[in-house]
Amino acid sequence: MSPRSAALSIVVALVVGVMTSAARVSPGLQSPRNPPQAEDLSAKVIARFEEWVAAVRGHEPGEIDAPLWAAAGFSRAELFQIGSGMSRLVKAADRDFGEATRRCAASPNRAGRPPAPQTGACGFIVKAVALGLAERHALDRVIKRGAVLHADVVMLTPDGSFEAPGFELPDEPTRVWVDDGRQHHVDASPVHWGFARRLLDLVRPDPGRDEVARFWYQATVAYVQSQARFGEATLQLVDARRLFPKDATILFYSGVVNEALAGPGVQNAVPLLSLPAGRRLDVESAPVHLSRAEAFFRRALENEPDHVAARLHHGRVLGLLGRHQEAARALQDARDAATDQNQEYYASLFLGREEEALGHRDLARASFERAAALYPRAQSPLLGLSHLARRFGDRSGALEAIRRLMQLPSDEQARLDPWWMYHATSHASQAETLLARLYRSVAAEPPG
Amino acid sequence: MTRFAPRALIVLLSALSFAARAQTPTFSSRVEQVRVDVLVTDKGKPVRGLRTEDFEIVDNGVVQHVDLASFEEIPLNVIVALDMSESVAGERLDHLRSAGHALLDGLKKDDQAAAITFSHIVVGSSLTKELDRVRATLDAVQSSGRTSIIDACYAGIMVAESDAGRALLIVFSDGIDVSSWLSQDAVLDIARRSDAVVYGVSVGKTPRGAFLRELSALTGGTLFEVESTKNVGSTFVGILEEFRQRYLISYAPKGVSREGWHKLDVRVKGRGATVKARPGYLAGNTPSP
Repeated sequence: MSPRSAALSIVVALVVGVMTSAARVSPGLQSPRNPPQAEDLSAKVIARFEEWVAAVRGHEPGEIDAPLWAAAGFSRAELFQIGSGMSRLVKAADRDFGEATRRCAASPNRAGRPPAPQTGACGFIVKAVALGLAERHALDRVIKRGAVLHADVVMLTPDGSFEAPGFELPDEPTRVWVDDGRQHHVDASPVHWGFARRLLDLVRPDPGRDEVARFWYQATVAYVQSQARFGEATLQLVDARRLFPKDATILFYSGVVNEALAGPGVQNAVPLLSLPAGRRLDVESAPVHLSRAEAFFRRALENEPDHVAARLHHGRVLGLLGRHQEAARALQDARDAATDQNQEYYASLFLGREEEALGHRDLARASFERAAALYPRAQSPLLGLSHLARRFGDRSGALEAIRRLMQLPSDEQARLDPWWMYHATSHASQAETLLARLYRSVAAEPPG
Repeated sequence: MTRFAPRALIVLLSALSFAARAQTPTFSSRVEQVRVDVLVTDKGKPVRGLRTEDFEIVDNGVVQHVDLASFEEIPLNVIVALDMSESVAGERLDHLRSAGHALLDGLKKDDQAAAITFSHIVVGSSLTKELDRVRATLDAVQSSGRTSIIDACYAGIMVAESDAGRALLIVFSDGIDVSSWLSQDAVLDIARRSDAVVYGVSVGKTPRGAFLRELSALTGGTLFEVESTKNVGSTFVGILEEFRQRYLISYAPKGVSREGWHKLDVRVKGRGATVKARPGYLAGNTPSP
């Protein structure tokens, strides 16, 4: 099992949402000092930049290696400064890198003396040239591999290894961890995600047309979703949709995260959360999230009509919105096109509910029974059968289904019910596939 | 409350006549009966000694003829549903086990019991008079996983309906539902059709509109909010004692629709007693209002 597979099998807690500062932030929440500026590119920072490039070049995507740990050790401030420096590099490369280099060599500092080449923006450019980043494709390679490296830092190291924020930007996102409906703790969103997204924005000529950037967003979104880290997924998807507004996978996960945010695991927990003053939780009401989910799934299907998972989720959401006829059609189609047992199970389970809502008792029963046949030790189809029978006045049928449930083994390992994994770990397999593709795409890039 | 189909009615009448030998109850000759569990208190104290003629019941605005009001000594079917999610590990689990045992200790010879334990997994068994089996179930369970209180309550209501006896479902949870398959509305719909009385016990404050609060209210039960799991045992025993003080009223509905929601108003004539009963029942296949 790959290191990431082990991580994907554990869902520790649910990130309910990401808090951003309210429009009027109380003074007490503002940073005691301002974020560092480009002029703060000291010799030390430039030296760290060199170490960072070495880590990027040395890291094997998907592996826990020394360069990964080295990258994990970069502070927020350092990453901010490196990001600023990289941004200047790319702008210089966009115009005329040679000219920028010459200017750096020639321009004096304010005292009129030639600048020390080791500091400031010029120092950064001079170092970049020395590291072989003057070539466009070499710069691009470091950018993309850097984005992969920092995604791996988040995905492969324990959350506790992240540095506590040394400074806060006014819009620094914060995660609220919720476990089984209870607030667990609050911490800062990993800086590595934001840094990696910032790097990808530097891809040229257009990150929105770059395959590695696209694969990066698809894979990381699938990953955080599979971990039930919905707040991070929400953040990731904002930039993903900005760059790839018609990508079916990104639209699909946009729907998935909204569907999850509409669920009781989130909605029941939110009123009980204790939030710092001046912070707003990035979670709306269930109807709002369901409407958004429906729109995203619909757009995903417009762009990729054969996206079975999108049709499945779309069907469920339509049902939750009370559009039962459409839901039943979508779920029937999804079931007919199901590519694996889990999809067939979900489609059958959800279709049972829709047929019940439409008053089609026999069709509903058949769907629930089909789900039960696929996973004989799952409790959800039996609960569905029982409720269906009772709802139509068939008490003996209801009791029979409950007797079947009571006869199931009590051991958790023996009671597999994919319904429990619907919002999160059901996406783990897809996340692995997308990550593998991302790593292959990075490996296939021309050498820098 | 449900209206019993003839087969269930025959079972119910037999049970009642067996249990109520000491009284001279009046049985209706009608096919369908509705029964309502009622607690009557005066300044917080249960009122005893009321007779059939002391009660008035109004079904959707139509006064009904009360056929039978029974009190005490009717065997109970007591179902206890205990949250065994990960949050109740350690000492809290011990408290819950003790609470379950205390409840079982309070049962009488002809009472039956069942235990349902739940995390995201719902585990349960049938009603039985063999209380040692129920005790063994409580002792064997370990805490782990997430909370599916809605699914568990549905299972509890169904276990209650598996026998024609008088059913008390006590549900303990320290959390909120995060993983049930059934929806809150679906289970509340069934509760409106059932005659089980649900008492909830939760740790800390339970928000208005929360599932367990709603379920308790619409079945004529009560939600108790305790400070700690240490208090659960005494709360369970108190619930059982209160339930034994309740009257069981039955009547054959007349002059009201066979379908839909029936608002109930139960009164004690001639005195300013407080009456606690379910607010109504759902009949037929009409969805909940």
